[in-house]
Amino acid sequence: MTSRGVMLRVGAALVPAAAAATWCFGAGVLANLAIAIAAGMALEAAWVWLRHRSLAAATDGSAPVTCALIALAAPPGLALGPLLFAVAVAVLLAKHLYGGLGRNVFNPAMVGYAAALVAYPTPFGDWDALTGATALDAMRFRDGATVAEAWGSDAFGAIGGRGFEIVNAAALLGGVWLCAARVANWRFPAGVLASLGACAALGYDGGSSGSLGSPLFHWFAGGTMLAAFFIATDPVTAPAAPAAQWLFGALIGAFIYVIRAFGAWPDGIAFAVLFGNLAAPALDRLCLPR
Amino acid sequence: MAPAVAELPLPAVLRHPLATPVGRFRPSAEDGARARLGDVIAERFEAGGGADEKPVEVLRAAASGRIERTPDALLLHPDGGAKRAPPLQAPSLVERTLEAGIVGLGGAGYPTHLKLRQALERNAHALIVNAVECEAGVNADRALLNCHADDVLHGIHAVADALGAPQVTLAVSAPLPAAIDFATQVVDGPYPAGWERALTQRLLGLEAPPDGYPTDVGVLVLNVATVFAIGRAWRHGEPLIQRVVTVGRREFWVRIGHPVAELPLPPGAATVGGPVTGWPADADAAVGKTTRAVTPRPAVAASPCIRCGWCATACPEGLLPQELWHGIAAGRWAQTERLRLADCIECGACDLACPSQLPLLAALRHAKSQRMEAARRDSAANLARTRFEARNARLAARAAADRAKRANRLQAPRDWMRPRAADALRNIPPEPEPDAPPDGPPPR
Amino acid sequence: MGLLGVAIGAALALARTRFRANEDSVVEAVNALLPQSQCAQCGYPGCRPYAEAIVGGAALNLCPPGGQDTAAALAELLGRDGTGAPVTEHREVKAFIDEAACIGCALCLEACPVDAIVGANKFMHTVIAARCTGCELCVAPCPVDCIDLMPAQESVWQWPRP
Repeated sequence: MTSRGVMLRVGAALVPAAAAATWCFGAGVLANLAIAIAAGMALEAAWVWLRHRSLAAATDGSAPVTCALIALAAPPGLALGPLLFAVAVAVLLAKHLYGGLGRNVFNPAMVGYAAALVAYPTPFGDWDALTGATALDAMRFRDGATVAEAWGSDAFGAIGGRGFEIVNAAALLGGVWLCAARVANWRFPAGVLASLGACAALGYDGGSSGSLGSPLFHWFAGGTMLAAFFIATDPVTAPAAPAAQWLFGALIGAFIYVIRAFGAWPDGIAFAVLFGNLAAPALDRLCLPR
Repeated sequence: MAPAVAELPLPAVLRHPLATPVGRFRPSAEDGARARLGDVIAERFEAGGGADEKPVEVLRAAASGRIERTPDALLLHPDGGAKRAPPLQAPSLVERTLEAGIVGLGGAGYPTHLKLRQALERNAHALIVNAVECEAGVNADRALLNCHADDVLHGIHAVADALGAPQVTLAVSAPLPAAIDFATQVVDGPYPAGWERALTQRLLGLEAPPDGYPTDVGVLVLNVATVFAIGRAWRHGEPLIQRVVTVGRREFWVRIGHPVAELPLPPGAATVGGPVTGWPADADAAVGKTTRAVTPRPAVAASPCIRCGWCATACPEGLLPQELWHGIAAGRWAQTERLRLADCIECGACDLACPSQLPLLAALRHAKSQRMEAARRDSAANLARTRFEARNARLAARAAADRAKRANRLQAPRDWMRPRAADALRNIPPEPEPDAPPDGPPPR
Repeated sequence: MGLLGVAIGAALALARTRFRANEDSVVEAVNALLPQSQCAQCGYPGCRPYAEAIVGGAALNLCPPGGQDTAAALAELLGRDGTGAPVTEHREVKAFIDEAACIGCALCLEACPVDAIVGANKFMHTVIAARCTGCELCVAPCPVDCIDLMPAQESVWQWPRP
């Protein structure tokens, strides 16, 4: 299997999640995907051409995957400005300014997403008319209601966020296939989900007004499965030693929970993954033979 | 019965590079000399060995012809003559194996007589004949078993007799035709299933020590081509001058030294020694004793490492080839030591796994040979320092003894000394302290 | 390059953990980086004397057999400037005595810093190739000019850089 084959499989594994998101949130998801992928590939091609590099550096398939992840993590039908900004930061700053494929320190998709989130806070909090507030927001800002009382709101589905739970289930499906095909390393999602679950279990007291959401809710809300199976598994920005990979996943899971529970952002995945990337070299130093 | 293995015609010249991965050969025939088929034309000695030592490997002429020596290679120009050296004579199997020039034909090239000797010293109780070809597309071992089973069996019996009565296992990758009457063990598994350490573990449940070999646990593992060569040498007194090689998709008998450029291959780049563990053939490449295959080399476009870690999953030694790759590229040798570069068995499983198609095996081999070279220089420097210090100590001791002797004489001139000589002795100026060796360097 | 890579790495690691501030140990560490050819081309009678001189402040780039690699390694070990007039690059050679011309004067025996020449007065001399460091010190004393330096032919197999 070649690098391009790897990227192709990652893309294939994203199809269920993309389809589920389109079904739940409408054609805005497809618009996001089309614009982001086209813009990302064009930017990369232009960059490679301007620097007189071989076109192979623009056809390895990593840019479409990066852009697809941004498109799926962003609210559907995101305005052109924020979306292009996120894509440009991801492809040019986070990938190519670091030296291209394999040399970036931070996950490009999450750098782009986080930069756009900080630059354009309003459109990123604005999911769609279907839910109004996302389940994560509804869980956080519920004015002293118990979990069961809050669950009456439109934001929640059967186990997680309305719509989000279906997208997460689809991402889980694709992610498990990716791990079974040995394209993604299963230690990363296992670490993320175990750690997120453990943190949520600690903060969940059966659903009182002070409760912060059950493990099941956190697994099936926001971009959990996308982060666990598709973003934390980017090997370039993750550690190499098996023990460090567990720690890396666990760190990301814990950060996701902390940001969701105590932060003001719509979701915690981008900053959690970036924190994890920051820690990856240190984790390797800790766990590689010295 | 499979079709017989065809013999390639004798090329215009047989080439034997002197520097090989296992060491350097010394030509034992003069430039322009005539060699008969089977004459010793070059020898290899243990590194640092003197001229009086016995060689650990000999190379014999694969045809009668004229010797040409170049700085890098020994060439044999066949003259079409039929002159043959007398058959091998050595009475013991170990000696005969050395005499025949047999080395591990599976790829390692370790002298078989040394392996046999170690197995005898450790009273090996088991013999594994390894015909598990794990590289896809290489069928040289299989062709040998299909077409020359009788000589393989002679070899097995020769080795088994020498060892006493070992448990013999013939390990193959797929069942043999029923016509071959020998119990076999089918070994299938992920590459490199035919690695002798893995084979010992799998077939006998014995684990060789980390720094050791299967012979350390009483198991002798020999490649089937090696066993065949032993059979020919023992029964017919024949030296090792040719072997079965997979050339492209077919198997041929090829003489050792056959230039790769003259093999029946489509034009273009070739890989010498199996599609996975082989290396790119240069213009002077030739078939050597360990060359199991020569195949066309597909063009690959390497892309950057994405640290996917598949190489680490594939590595049978549990190394981290991706980390080694980055360490080698950056010249961080201490880091490669920590990552156990020396434990790499050069199986190429990492190359097979790499989605970026990086030349990991080539980088690891390069780093390993740099490491060996550094170790060689280090030990040479240590030796020189020890000898320098010993010499200085000796000179200082001699100077001190001389001074003491003179002082004695000054104090009590002997009766036999004539007065003038005693005066002269008294006027000798005091010697400088022997800090520096008395014979300092010439001025530059 | 990285010819001395492992040696340098090991010596540096050793130097860092074991040798701190102790002058003798520093001399040992410096000596371990020198190629031990004992050729005296640095102007000091052997490698250890040069190591002592380096610790005493001598320049780091006086060792031709060690070349740039050694100068750089010394600079890293001592935290000093290793630049300066570039030293010549290392060329591996061995002394070779033309035995037909040798008159058995034994002068080269005395000159060899590592006792790599065997022979006796009025008997032919020869160089033990495996012990010769190629320091050239035997060439000048020879009255009949019968010692030549030959490139060390025993080049070993090196896998090329991919």
